[in-house]
Amino acid sequence: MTAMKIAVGPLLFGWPEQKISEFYLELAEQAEADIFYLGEVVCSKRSISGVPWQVRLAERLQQSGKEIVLSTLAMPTTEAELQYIRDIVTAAAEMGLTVEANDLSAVAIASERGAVFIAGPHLNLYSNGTVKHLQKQGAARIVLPLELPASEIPTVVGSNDVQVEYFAHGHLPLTFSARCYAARAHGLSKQDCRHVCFMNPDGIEMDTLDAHEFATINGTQVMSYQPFSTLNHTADLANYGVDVLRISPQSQGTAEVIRQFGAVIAGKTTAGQALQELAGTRSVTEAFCNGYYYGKQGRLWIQSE
Amino acid sequence: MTAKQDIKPELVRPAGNLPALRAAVDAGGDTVYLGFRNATNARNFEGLNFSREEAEEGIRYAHQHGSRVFVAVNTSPDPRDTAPWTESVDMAGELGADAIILSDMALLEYAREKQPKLRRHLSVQASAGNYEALNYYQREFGIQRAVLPRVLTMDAIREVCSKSTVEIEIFVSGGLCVMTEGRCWLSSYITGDSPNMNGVCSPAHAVRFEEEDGRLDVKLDGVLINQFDPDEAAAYPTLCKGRFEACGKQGHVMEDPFSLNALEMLPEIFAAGVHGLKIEGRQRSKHYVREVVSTWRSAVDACALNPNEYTVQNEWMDSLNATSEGGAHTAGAYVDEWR
Repeated sequence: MTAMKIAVGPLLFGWPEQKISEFYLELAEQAEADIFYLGEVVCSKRSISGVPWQVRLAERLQQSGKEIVLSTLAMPTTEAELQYIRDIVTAAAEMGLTVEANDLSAVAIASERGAVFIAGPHLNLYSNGTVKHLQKQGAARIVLPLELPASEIPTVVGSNDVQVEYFAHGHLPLTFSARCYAARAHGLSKQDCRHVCFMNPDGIEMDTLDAHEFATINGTQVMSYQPFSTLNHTADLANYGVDVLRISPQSQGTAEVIRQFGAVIAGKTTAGQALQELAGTRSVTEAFCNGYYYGKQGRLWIQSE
Repeated sequence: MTAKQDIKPELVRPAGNLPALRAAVDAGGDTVYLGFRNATNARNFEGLNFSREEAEEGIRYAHQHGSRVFVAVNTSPDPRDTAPWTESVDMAGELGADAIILSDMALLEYAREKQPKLRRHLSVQASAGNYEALNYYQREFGIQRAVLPRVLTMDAIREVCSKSTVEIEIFVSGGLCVMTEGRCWLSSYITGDSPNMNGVCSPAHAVRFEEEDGRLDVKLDGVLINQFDPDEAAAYPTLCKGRFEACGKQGHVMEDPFSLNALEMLPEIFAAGVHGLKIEGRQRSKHYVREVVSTWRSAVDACALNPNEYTVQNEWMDSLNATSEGGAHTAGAYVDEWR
């Protein structure tokens, strides 16, 4: 069995383009990361310079020798958003890159052109037959739905000839909406959002009325409060047939997360030690959630036996 | 092909049990939708839905009175045991349902192969919100209709209608999902049970009401999601309509506890060429169904008669507000200001 690869997922938060470029170019120097996903998934309003900017960054990242994937929007509803996806599929083909499809529209556009694609985590791949269908359409790799218990992976993937990627670390993207909750929290409307999400590079904390941490607002998306982590399950995931572990980036500590995953996969450290390193001064129970791995409440941390 | 604009949309009404089905049929024409009593549909609530015998009786009653029946099988099959889902598809075909509402691609394929005469509708749970996705489902699975997520603007709905020959059905009344259906994991994040995998959102078994100092605390699996003053009306505690704190402000961070009500948009909806107007609420009582369906029947008939002179009658609004959860309404994503 070849060693599991590490992917840096598409940045889900809203940042200015300059910051995104610097962030990815710095991470690209890190040996442990094999694959980089690049592109806006959550809100088309964030993309200011559009596809040409994304292509320039992809070209610079390609020089690092990493596998580059161009991600696409999860909830396109307008012609402009569909065109944005078409342009990315075209650009990817010209550069010899793959796209990540996060909506059936992207699957439709890619498969019509005979392009290979990666089926993203928002396509609802809960059944073996669905995976089979998408594989026939050109899916080379699938990213499983976040809430699917890890033990179901072998059943869902079955004998389909696809690579399997698992969302292994980061704030869980739990929803997509037409409404922008960041704008709402700041008393603005989505039409006139003034890119207010750029002010909070790791989102806005949402708490319960009795002051417990609850979730993270990321523009039109709600995410888990704690980052999800399966750093202590890399070996189990390999046994379930997972080829690639996705780390979803955030502004602080992503390089360290990649290093720790790399160290655990290479057997240079124990998972317990690595998790505690990432948790810092907090306990692992407080710092992370992993309930979905076990088919339980996503917000919980469940101690492995 | 008939121009879509020539179509008077049908009212697609919820039936959580036989009495509600009869109430919906008696209150006026068109179509009812229902699900079987198991995890195969997105309203898998206790005491709700239809056994095979009840579905048979319901379909017979509806057909005798000129109503069609759609059957929802719109959760993701259990990867280890898909039998309840495939059996539900077959049962809908055997009982003579007029259409089956599906979201999973493998089940769509199964239905096309095993029940080819049964119309296939794409469930809102499939999260298809643009014509590229709908045309893909049409090409690959032969869907004839799709229910759009409640996150599109009227402009986007118009565009979908004009660029796809798939019939379009939209929600016009009842509970308002503010997140794209099928892509919302909030419920399983808190409770472990989700619409996609379990057919439930904010399930009743996880809800606790606790009184403290005259104040009502609402907890979902132990997480405080709302607090009510003694004189405040408390609707069913759906997670996204709870009160939370963000940026130092407490309130309805995600959505106010309003119901969807698109009465005012009806002429625009007609002009767009929408085929089906869906009323949410299989979990509601037969009295609710009767009241809401009668109101919508009057509104749709008035609009069909003369869309240019259509105005929303006060009694329609009063009737919908009186029966709605939260007692107030919104046209949701159909109007820009909401977003």
